[in-house]
Amino acid sequence: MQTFADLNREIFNQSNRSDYLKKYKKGLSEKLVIQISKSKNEPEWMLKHRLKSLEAFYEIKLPDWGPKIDLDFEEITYYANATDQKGKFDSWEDIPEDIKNTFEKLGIPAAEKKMLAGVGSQYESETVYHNLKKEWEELGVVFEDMDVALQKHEDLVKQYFMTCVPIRDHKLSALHGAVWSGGTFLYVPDNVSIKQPLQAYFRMNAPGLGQFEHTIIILEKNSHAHYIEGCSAPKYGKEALHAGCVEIFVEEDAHLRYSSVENWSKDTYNLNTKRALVGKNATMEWVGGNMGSGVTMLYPCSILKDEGARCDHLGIAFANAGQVQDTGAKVIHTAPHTSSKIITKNLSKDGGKSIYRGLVHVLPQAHDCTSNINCDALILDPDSTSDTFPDIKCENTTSEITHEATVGKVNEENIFYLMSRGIEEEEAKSMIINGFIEPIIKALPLEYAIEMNRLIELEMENSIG
Amino acid sequence: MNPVIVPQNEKLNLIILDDQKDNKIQIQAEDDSGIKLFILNSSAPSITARLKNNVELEINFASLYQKNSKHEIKVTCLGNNSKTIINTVFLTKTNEQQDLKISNIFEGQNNTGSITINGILEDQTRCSLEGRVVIKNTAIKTESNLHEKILLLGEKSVCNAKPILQIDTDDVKANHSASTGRISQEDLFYMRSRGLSEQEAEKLIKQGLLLAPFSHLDKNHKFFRQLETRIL
Repeated sequence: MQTFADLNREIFNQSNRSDYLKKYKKGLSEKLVIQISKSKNEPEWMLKHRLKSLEAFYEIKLPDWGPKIDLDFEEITYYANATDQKGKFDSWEDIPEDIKNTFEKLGIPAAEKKMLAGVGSQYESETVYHNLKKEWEELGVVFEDMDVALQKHEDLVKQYFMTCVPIRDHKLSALHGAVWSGGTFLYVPDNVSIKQPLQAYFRMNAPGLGQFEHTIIILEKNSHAHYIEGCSAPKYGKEALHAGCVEIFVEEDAHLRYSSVENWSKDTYNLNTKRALVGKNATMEWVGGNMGSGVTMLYPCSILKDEGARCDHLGIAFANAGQVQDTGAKVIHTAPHTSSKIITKNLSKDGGKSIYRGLVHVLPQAHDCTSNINCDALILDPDSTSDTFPDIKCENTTSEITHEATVGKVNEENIFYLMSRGIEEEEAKSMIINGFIEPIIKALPLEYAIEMNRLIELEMENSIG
Repeated sequence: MNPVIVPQNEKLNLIILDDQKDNKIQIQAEDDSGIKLFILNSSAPSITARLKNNVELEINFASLYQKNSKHEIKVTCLGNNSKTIINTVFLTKTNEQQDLKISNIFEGQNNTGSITINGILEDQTRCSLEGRVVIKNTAIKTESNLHEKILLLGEKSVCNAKPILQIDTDDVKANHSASTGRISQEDLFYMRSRGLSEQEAEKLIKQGLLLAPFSHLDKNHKFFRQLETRIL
């Protein structure tokens, strides 16, 4: 059985056949957008939404800050289905062998049996497997692939779809609105606490592909859930694009932990948008690890909209050779007595560039708020860089915001001490780095903590001399 | 105004009080020189200093009740082994606006830098602060820190703080901290338990914040005396 601890680079880099790609044209057009909508048998309002988004995409410019996005949008294949089937398969056994093997190597079916309440697996633009354990279904929990949710729960989807992240938020959200496909819909009714985590895994296989999954998570009053997202893709030397969108609605007294381990290949642009609206006395926790991608621009955002709402943002970003990890967090305090905490740990190695970019904004009506931001960075060699760009806006005189950041290298005295105790230099460095990222790792379930540690170890391979 | 060149082994001591000439201050420091600037309520829009080797630079800058004041301080360590200290404080009332940009750029090796910005916003005042530390990839063994502490005391005061670090090499130590908020209720409680009225306690805390960056100065120093008198 494949476990996370057995992970090696080969697993992520292995690719399957991608001859199905011949059926799909590169580039973006109104015709393509209509085709995607028709093939999914979508209601008229969704097609209108897609076309409006496409119009916005052509109008809005790319951001004039952050890493350079050197991406030819006409060279991307925006939609591809790797199987002939429309919609998901009922069991792992029915899924074509090569796709099933990929997910098995990634340890998804094993994790489902062992520790998950539900699993969704997306391959290219379509979900191939989605399942929720019966006990949760009986309590009214809905865990569906987004396309199915649109058919089965149209009113609910319409009520929430792209309300938290509007089309015109930025160019990539507009693109997402036009060509989105797949993703997850999770609805947890009042007073239901899902004890085990739910997981979605997104895999891109073919070269030059774009993946635009849309995720909506709704937690009704006093409900609890832990949602985990994983992503990976093989490396081709050709640009791929991931521009997903995650919209989260956490109602009164509810609690959501959203964990993600992003491990896209190093030729992928990961330009993802994630945002949560947090209600009265509710808690939103983001735990994120960004290991892959050539360029990442990802700033999960919490809008604390009602009194007593709270959010924690915990993140690790590892920038290796050729990577730019531009990550961070945004918190908007719009209500009184709200609180936020941001802890990020950035690592850069072999010329990698890590950037923390964050915003904390306390609005005038949000009295008695607190916010703590702590962002640390380790630079592992002279060629690597680390930048910190926090933006703190306080419009309220009863609120308190504190920010701290440190940047430096691994302490040589610590390495020397460990080596004097018989530990090899590479292992000593790894141990120190594991200690550095520990506050984030310990927020993950054990299996995923092992995965994250293993990914860091993979990134650290050959780091000595 | 032409750049002031501080020759090798020379010391420059400059005190500018209530200068309203809108002149830019430009300084070029040669090897082994020392510069101390004391600036209180100057309308100089910018102060730039370019340092060669073994230079000691200290900028003490205060802006009290200045209407719509905009200042930029930029210090570049071109050479090695220099030490820079930039201490700034500001105090605003009514509907004044304070814009402050301070950057410390390190190109040479083995330099140290420290930036402190303490400020108090009263009434409906606004401030925009940008503290930036840039360590280029040639600047190994740099040690730099940046601290911002802002008290919001007015009912409608607004603060926007951006403490930025841009680090291009590994063998450095850089840190920054920023805090924005009101007077700590615990501090107030402690002082009141020692017999001070709320007003007296608040006054002491404000004085402490604004004078702390200059605690190394002689209490009879002209700049310190003026500052103390005006904030009392």
